[in-house]
Order: sequence, then structure tokens, then C-alpha cells
Amino acid sequence: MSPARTFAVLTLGLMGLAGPWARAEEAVVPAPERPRFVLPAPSAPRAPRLPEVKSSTLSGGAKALILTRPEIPLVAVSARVVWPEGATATGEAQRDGWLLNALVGTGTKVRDGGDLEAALDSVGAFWGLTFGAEGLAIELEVPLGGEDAALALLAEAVLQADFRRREVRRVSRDWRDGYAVLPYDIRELHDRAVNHLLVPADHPHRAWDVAGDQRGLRAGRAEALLADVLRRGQATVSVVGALGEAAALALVERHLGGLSGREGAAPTPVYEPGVGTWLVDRPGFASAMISVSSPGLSRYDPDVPLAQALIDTLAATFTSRLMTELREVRGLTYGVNGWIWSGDAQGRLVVAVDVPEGKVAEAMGVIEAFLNVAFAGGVTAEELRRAQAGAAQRTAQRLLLTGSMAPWLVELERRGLSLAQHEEDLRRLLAATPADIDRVAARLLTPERRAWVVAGDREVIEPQLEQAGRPIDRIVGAEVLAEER
Amino acid sequence: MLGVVFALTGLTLAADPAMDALRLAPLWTTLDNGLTVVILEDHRAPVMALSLRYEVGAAEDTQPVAGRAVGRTGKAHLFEHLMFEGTPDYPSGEYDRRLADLGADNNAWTDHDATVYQVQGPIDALETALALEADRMAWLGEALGEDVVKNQIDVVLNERLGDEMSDYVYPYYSLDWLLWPEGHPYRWPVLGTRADLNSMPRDELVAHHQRWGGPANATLVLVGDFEAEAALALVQATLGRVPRSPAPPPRALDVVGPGLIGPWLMVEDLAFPQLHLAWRTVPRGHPDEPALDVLAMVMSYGRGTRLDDALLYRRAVATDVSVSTANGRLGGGFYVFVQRADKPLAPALRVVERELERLLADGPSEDEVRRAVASWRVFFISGLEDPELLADTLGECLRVYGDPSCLAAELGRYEAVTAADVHRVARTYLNEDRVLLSVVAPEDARFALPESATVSPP
Repeated sequence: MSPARTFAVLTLGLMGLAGPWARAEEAVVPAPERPRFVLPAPSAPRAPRLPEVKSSTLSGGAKALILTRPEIPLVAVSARVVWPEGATATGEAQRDGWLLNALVGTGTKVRDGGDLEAALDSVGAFWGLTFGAEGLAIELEVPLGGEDAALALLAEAVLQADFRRREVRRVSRDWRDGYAVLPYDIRELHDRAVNHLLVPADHPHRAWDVAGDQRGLRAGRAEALLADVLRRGQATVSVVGALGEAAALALVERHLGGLSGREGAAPTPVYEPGVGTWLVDRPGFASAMISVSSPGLSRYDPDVPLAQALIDTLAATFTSRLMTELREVRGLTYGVNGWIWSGDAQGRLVVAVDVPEGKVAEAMGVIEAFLNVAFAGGVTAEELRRAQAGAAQRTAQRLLLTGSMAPWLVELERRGLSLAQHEEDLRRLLAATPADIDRVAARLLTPERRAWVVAGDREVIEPQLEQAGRPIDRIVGAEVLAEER
Repeated sequence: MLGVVFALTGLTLAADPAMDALRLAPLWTTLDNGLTVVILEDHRAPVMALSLRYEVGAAEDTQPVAGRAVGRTGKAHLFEHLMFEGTPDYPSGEYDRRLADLGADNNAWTDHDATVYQVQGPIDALETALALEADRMAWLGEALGEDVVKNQIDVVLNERLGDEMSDYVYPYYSLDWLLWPEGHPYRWPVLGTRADLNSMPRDELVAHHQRWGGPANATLVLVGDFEAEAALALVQATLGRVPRSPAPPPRALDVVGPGLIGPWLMVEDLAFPQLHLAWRTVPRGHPDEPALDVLAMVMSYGRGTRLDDALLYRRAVATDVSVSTANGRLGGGFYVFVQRADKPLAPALRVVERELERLLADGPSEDEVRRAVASWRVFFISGLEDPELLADTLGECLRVYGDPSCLAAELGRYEAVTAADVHRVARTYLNEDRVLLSVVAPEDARFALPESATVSPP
């Protein structure tokens, strides 16, 4: 060691960690003057003022909702036609619904799907045509001036639908390819396992389709279903954007005024969701998906806004308990997801996370402990205030977007709700106390009613769960699950 | 004031309400400490959006730092994570909590060119958001412990793991590696390599903030329900008090040279074989950029577009097709993606090449171009509705065109594109210097393009 280096080491030892030259530098280079920043006291969250929606009835009987907003030159139109039996459809009827969803918009009596898409794109339209258990959905967002041409094309796609045989062959092929992908797709596998664990095999919500189901598809059945729904199903239409009330009404009357069905939707059958723990074996995957589901609430339950506050506190926001613990404290994940889903009959509260495969037992242990703590109560006033402020802001934000307002108005109306009801829900949330959220937690987070699904490499995950003393009710291979109804 | 409130249908309409709405007039100034400020009033709802853009991105990661000729990749993005980890006055978690108390949401993103921090919330949150941004601009690093850095490295490694597990993201790690020449800063993934992340020292991250994180290297954009002058006063009282920073170092430079043409093979555990073609094009703001974007839509944007019809609808050659563009400060890329279900990729390549030959020989029709341009119009107008998106866009306008109110002019550039322009850029850029990449599962190696050399993503 050189004399200079010996001196430096001795000096460092005597003076702690900093050398004398470092201290000298600190003495001659003053720290820059940096101000401190004091935050204003937080204000109480306020419910945004919701706009006035004009309501009317088209000549055929469809309800029309109009919201005029002149600031941005866009027009959005949304329409729903109820499939009266959709909520109870199973088997062939359900498959006809899936086929119709794949075919709607692929051709009309006057043009094929390519011409239809080209014509819609040429007026600058964002559009969508879908069909599901709840019925037919038409969505349009277009620069002002293009709305008449675009809605005429969408009405033609629905009212003069003509599905070519080659399109059915394409759908059949796409479905077959989709089933082939399933064993590789950990997210799809996970979601399928959640569905199979929670929903009884004979319930319409059970996603029981398998590879063989794409055989024997017939365009005629989809066309007949569409005609039947248009004839019988109740229709609701909304127009949001830079059109005055009269012009908006004239627009939807011109193109959708003939919708005359009156039948509403049959109620969805209620089921008792399954519980336990399933492990989906997807070998060779370095990451694992974990979710835990608890029974939630029907969309008509007055506790829905409070349940949203509960999941915000638990897992749905950056400041939530599980995001803080799993990401910021333990570094186990990039993010935690939490949400509530509320159907007409029942709902679900879900926490989900992706973690490295070697960390599954640790992550499940943390999630379970946090759910148990929340079940016992103890939401703080600070947590509640954040959830309240977040809910108010989400509503304000939603009001800004023309393309999301139009379907929202239709959905509210179709469910017998309204913007006024939403405003009332928000006010009730803003008046809630931590005890109210604790009551909902006790209602939803019962430990015995949880359903866990883990998807990942069994060889890595199973020993962890065994060591943690977590029983596994079922281990299912990816290929088996993909073929299981 | 955002847009122009024009007469409703049935009364008098302006000649082109879309263009009128896009003619924005934000307040635009530079503070004494060098911070650029853009403020746009939007009185549609009592909300605000803040975008604070630092002109540093992953391209700067590999610049030399003390003791290393080549810096560690992933630094700019990892630093973005650390910006949420606290200062002496507002320790870890406080930034998120203080904003959430008011109902405000926040996020951040990093690409090769910039690091952008966003806040969106009720108008009441504006002062708090500005003060918190000022605090971390001035004080970040003082409270940054080794444990916090280690934790966020783990979080980013998990983020990268998500990319690695994605059939649709990870191939682009290889594609960028092949498209950009040796030494080009866009070769490296924004998230960095695992080796670099695992060896990232805290001091290098703090130095990153000192070099690039000062007011003279940043642009603040505010959009919201305030009076512009009042908002500017709040900015002066917060970010305006952060001491002027030294001028940032020179930014990363473009590297001219050929990519690695291939054909290449990436072996990954994915469902269906993929074929990727990529060409180098032009940087963001280049006069040819709009015509290239229109070209991409002419090639693939649903039924009735060339590759979609040829590969998906007329013939069942592929299960998925897309054509996309990406343009950054130092250059751009034009990407074709085709996925086949358990079949060789060579026939799909032949179909793509045949369609390209047709396009290069005859060019697109005016109808095809009109369809694509109309779609661009709605992208621009709907972009006005979301204050957060709009704030980012104004910041990008300022960087690219030197003018935050570029939207109307930018749409004008797209609407001026002709079929001849699209034909010309196709012939100019879609040449033989293209990267060809097959991505297949280990058991599907037979489906790859013949004579491919293997590439591993960085």
C-alpha cells in the first residue's frame, strides 16, 4: 500500500466514513438554497354537478336520451336492444348469440363487410356492433357532420343484415384458432378456471364452450336471432355531443325510429358460487397469476358505492393497502388489481395480482391476512376520505368523454337507474362513515366464501403451498381445462 | 380557452368546426429558472390535468457516466419509479397519499425520448400537485435509501417479467435490437436489461436527477378549469421557486448505419408463430411522417385494407395482422406483424411481399387514402376531450414543432396527404433494407423462415 493510500485509510478510520477532502468540499461549496413547499389543507370532496339529460320516445316506442354538449364537435350515439331470453340462454341458443356477435357488421343486403367498414371509416367513425346475453349494442362516435351517414350505415348493418357463408367459415376458423391458443394463454386459463370454480355447470354464466363447438354453425340461425331480438326486444337510444335536442332526436328517429319491441330481459338465475383453491398447471411460465374472489352485490344493492370504497381501500388504487404492501414494501409485483362486478342478480369482489412463480405462497399469505383484517373492520377516516374523493373525481372525469357518456346513459336507463340515481349514490357515499364501510366488509369478505385461483408452473407452486399449509382443492392441467365444459 | 363553442346544428355552422376546435391558444412562457410553462383553460368540468415532461429518456441511459464508458440501461425508467419514493418533507408514499386525499390520480411514463409525470384530478388539487412536483424536483435524492432503490429494482424486474411473458411485447425487444445499428440508443429496451438493473447503484440514479431533473430541462403543461393567469401565479409560487439548474448535458445522438436484416429467429414459449418485418423511417415531426402513418392504415386497418383482406378475409392465411409506425426524436420505424396458426411463416411472407409489390408499383387509390385520413381526423378531435391526453400532446407539440398549439396545423398535414405522397413514401422507405424476424415456440422451429440466425432479446 502506498503512503498516500495508507494515510487516507487511517484518516477515514479516525473520522468515520468521510475523508477530510470531502469535508473541505462541503465547507467551500454551500448547498444551494432550496425552498420548502407547504401543501394547502385538503378540501372535502364534492360531488360534481351532473348534466340534465332530455328524455323522449321514438315513434316505434324506443326510449331516447339526449345530452347536448357543444364544446367539442363530436357526436356519439349508443343503442341497446334487449335479448329477452339472453340471461337464461344456454346450449344452442347461447351459441347462436356468440355467432351473431361474430357476424354482426360483416355484411348487409346491399354491401359486404369490407365496403361497410370502408364507408364508416371514410366519415371518420369510431364504431362498434356487438351482441351478448344482454342484447344488441350499437356504438358510434363521429366528428360532427358525419353522424347521419354513419348511423345510416350502422342501421343498415343491423336492420338489413345478410351474413355470407364464407364469414361463417371465418368465424369457425377463428374460434378453432382461439381454442388452440387457450392452453398457452395464462390469462385466459386463469379466467376460465375462475369461471369453472365459481359458476355451476348448468348456469348460463358458465363459459362451457370447447373446441368442438365451432362445428355446424349456420348463418341463418344468427340472422333469425337478430330478427327476433329486433322485433321483440325493448330498445334504448342515446345521443351525446354537439347536436341540439331536435337535431339529435331527428337523427335517431330517422335511422332507429322503427325499433318497436317491448320485451325486457328475463332475470338471471341466482347461483351459489363455489369456494376453495384451484391450481392451473401451466409449465414453464416464470410468472404466476393469483386471484381471490368473494361474493359481491347485485347492481341494485344500495351498498354498491360502499363496496367500491372498500375495494379502493383494499386493492384498487395506488394508495390501497395491498398495493402498498405487495409492491412498495415487498417488491413482489408491478401492480395489484381490485374490482367489484355487479350483475343484475349477484356480483363479485376480486383481488388479483401477478407475481414471480417463486413468490406465490408469500403473496397469497399477505392477501389473505389483509382480507381478514379488513373483514374484522378498521377502515380509517383517511382511507374513506380518499375513496370518497376518488369516486367524485371518477364521475367528473367520465362526464368529459362523449364516447363513454352515450353508452353509460343507455346502461343506466336499461337497468332502471338514472344519472340522478348515480348522483344520489355518490352523495350517500360522501356521507358515509368508516363504520358503514366496515359493515360492508363484514358482509363481503367472509373467509369461508373465498375462491382462489392460481395459474402457473405446478412444479414450483405446489411445494410452496404445501409448505405454507394451504390445501389445494383441485390441480388441473392447461389442456384439460381448455377442453372442459 | 379550449376550442370554440360553435352554433348548434340547425343554426349557423362554422365552415370546419373540427379545425376551429383544434385551434388552441394556450398561454406559453418560460420562468426565470428555465422551466417552460404551457397553460390551457378548459372550462367543461371542474377538473385539471398536469403534465411535467423532462427531456430525458432511455436514449440517454447509455451515455458515459463516472467510471463507465457506457451507462447502464433502464436508468431513466427506474428513476421515474424513484420519483414517487419520497423527499425529506414528503417521505415515501406521501406523494400518492396527498393527491389521493383530494381525489387526484397520478401516473408516469418513460420512453426513449422523455420522462413524463401526470396528475389528473379536481381543480382543488392543482396547488397541491404543483407543490409536490416542485418538492420532488428540488429535493429528490436526499431521502433516497439503498433499500428503496432495491425495492423499486424488484418492482421494475417484475414489470419486465410481464413484458417477457407477453407474446405481443417481448418480440419487440428483439426487433428494436435488430432494426437500430450498433451503438444506437434505441436498441436497448426502455426497462433496461436484467444485468444492468441488478447492478444499478443508487448514486448513479441520484446523479441522473442532478443532470436531467432540473427546471431548465422540463416543460410543465396544465389543462383545466382555471384562469390561465391565476394558474401561472400558482406555478410561480411553487415550481418557479426551484433554483435554476445547470444546463443538462448534450442529449443522445442518432447513429447512422444499417440494421441487421436477417432473416432472424427468436425462440419463445408462445402460442402461434409470428412474422415481423421492420424498416427504419423518419424522426417525429419529419414531413413524411403523416404519409407513412396513412400508408400503415392503407395496409392494415380492418376489412377492405390491403393486408387484412389478403391475409385474413379473402384468404385464411393468418390469424392476426397489424401495421404500425413509431417515430421518436432520433428516428422512426415501420412495422408489419403477421401471426399464423401452427403453419410455416414463409407463405405469409410471400403474401405480404406480393401486396407490397402491388402497392409499390401502383400506389394506393384516392379512396383508400381518404378513408385513412378521415380516421386521423377523429383521433385528433377525440383527443381534445381528455385533459390528461391533451396536456401530453401540447408538450409533445412544443418539443417537435416549437409550438404547443400545433394541433390544427398537425391535422392539416394529415389532411393534405395525397395518394401520390403515400406512393412516394412507400417507395422511399419500404425498401430491401428491412429486418425479417420469425418468432416461434421451441417445438415450432420448423415454421420459421428458412436460413434464419438466432437472436436473443437484450
